[in-house]
Amino acid sequence: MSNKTDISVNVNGREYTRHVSPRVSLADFIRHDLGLTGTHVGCEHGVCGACVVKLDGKIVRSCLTLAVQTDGHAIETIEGLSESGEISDMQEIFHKRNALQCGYCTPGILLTAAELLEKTATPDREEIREFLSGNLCRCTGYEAIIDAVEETARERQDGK
Amino acid sequence: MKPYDFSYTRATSLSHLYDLFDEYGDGLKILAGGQSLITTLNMRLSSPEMLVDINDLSEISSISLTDNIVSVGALVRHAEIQESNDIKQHVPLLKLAIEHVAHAAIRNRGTHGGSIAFADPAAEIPACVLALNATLVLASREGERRIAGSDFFKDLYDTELRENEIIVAIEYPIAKKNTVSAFREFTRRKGDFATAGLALNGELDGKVLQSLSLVFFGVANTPVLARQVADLIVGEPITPSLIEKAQNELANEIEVIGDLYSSEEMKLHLSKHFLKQALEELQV
Amino acid sequence: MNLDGDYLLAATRQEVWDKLNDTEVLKECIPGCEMLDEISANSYLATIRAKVGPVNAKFKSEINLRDVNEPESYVLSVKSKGGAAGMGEGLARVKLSEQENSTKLDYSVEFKVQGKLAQIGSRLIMNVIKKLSNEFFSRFVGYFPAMPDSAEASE
Repeated sequence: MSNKTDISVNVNGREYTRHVSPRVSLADFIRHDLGLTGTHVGCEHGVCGACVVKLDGKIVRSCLTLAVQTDGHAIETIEGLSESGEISDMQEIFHKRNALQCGYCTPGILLTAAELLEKTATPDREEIREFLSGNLCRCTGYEAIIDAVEETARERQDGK
Repeated sequence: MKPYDFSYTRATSLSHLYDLFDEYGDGLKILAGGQSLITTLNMRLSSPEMLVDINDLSEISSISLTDNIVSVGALVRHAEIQESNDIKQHVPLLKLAIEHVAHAAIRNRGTHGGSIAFADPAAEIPACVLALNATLVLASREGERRIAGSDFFKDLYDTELRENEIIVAIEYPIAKKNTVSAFREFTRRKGDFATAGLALNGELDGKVLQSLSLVFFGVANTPVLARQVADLIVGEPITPSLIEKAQNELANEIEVIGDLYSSEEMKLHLSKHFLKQALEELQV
Repeated sequence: MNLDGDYLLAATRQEVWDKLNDTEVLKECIPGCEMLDEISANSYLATIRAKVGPVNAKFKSEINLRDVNEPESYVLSVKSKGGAAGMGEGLARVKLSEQENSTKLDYSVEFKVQGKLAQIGSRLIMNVIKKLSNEFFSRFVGYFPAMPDSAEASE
């Protein structure tokens, strides 16, 4: 069956046009077609959060979104957020506080935490926990991650 | 992991969707938020011939308020429900429930109508549809029909929705001054489908409930309206002995089905516990 | 996890046994069974279409009859591979006993799921198995005349 279609997607500010099969997930498209491997693939059924990207400014699971669905839309991945520098403070604090070990879950967690801090400038620990509840980390035990998000929020407030 | 191959089309209007219904019959699947559907595709547990993406149908993607109903378009995302002031003010039960639906990234994508059409017996939104006796607006080429929430859920994943029909809106009656709501659920992990849960909606005058809907979910093939238990409570002052009577009646009225992790006994225990907690909350 | 029940059938034990061993009858009774080929004595390959809610797919399945004790009991095992998702296995123990003018069929179903199927399926597998078992046995009961009083014994 040849049902491939052309899609044009803006990823991290750059326009890409690619010929894709409808069954390709956004996660596989980003990794294999665009070579942006910062988006990770874990469970592939929406549980682990490793594949989180931004679609039109909001975080989504790229394993539960099809690449064809994003035709005409804008995607931001961890590469985009890293290069723009908008989360560099959080990345530094994650590093400092050992909020990552193997790093597999980290891109998804950073994107999710970034959205939380956009919505709520100074979330309490419970709110951080709740917002990150859809991101699994098998290394850190989460406490360091919550510490890091909390500190990022605090520093951003102090910096104002 | 790759799904089986399928074709993909974006519906440009409802009537375009009806054309596709005619063309593909039961080989067609509607793709709304896709948060459950794409999981089953990824696991090759489902192999539709044609996936019709309805995400461009802006006519069914907003919340509107009239004198006595809040109408939620089928494509409204869970996150929009969570952030809506109209929902918070006029459909408080839904606001309580939405906090328990999955996770932020899934709430940004998952849709209100999708959750109802999917009809998972352990999901929060179908339970609210039943507890609030919302009216579902179903549309097809033949026109629209309205069906009461209490008539919609038939059996495990089986609803009144026909093959050539789509849910376009869900109409919730506006809460009155004396409307009270409570929501409880137990999950193995935050954001999971419920092991057992309760959605309560009623009207409270002083210490006496004038009307009451109790919906238990995660315990059977559909969300279950416990009518007898509610009848027992309505019109009576809420006292510890009434709560105990209601708990005992609950064990008689609903037939609980266990699962691999949680036995019938556990689910019934949780249901009784939630009933007590929710009624006690109303007393305060 | 187990699921038990029984049915009273208006037939002799031998008649019920023969139906339980008839490939055509099994094919008709197994919900969604699209093909059933005997590959050796008491061993079959089947294609089963499972259609429950979001699940709608064909599964290649192995069906085996074990511990065959004619005309009294056997164990029917159905092993299905669920694509990339894992596998499921169901065992139905069936026992026939002679009653006055009828035969009592006792059944007990056990099942397990493995792989990702277990992660997403464990929650509802009980409901599904119950539904499928009821479908199987209610179709099977249809092969016999109705019982004079009630067609079905208490579950």
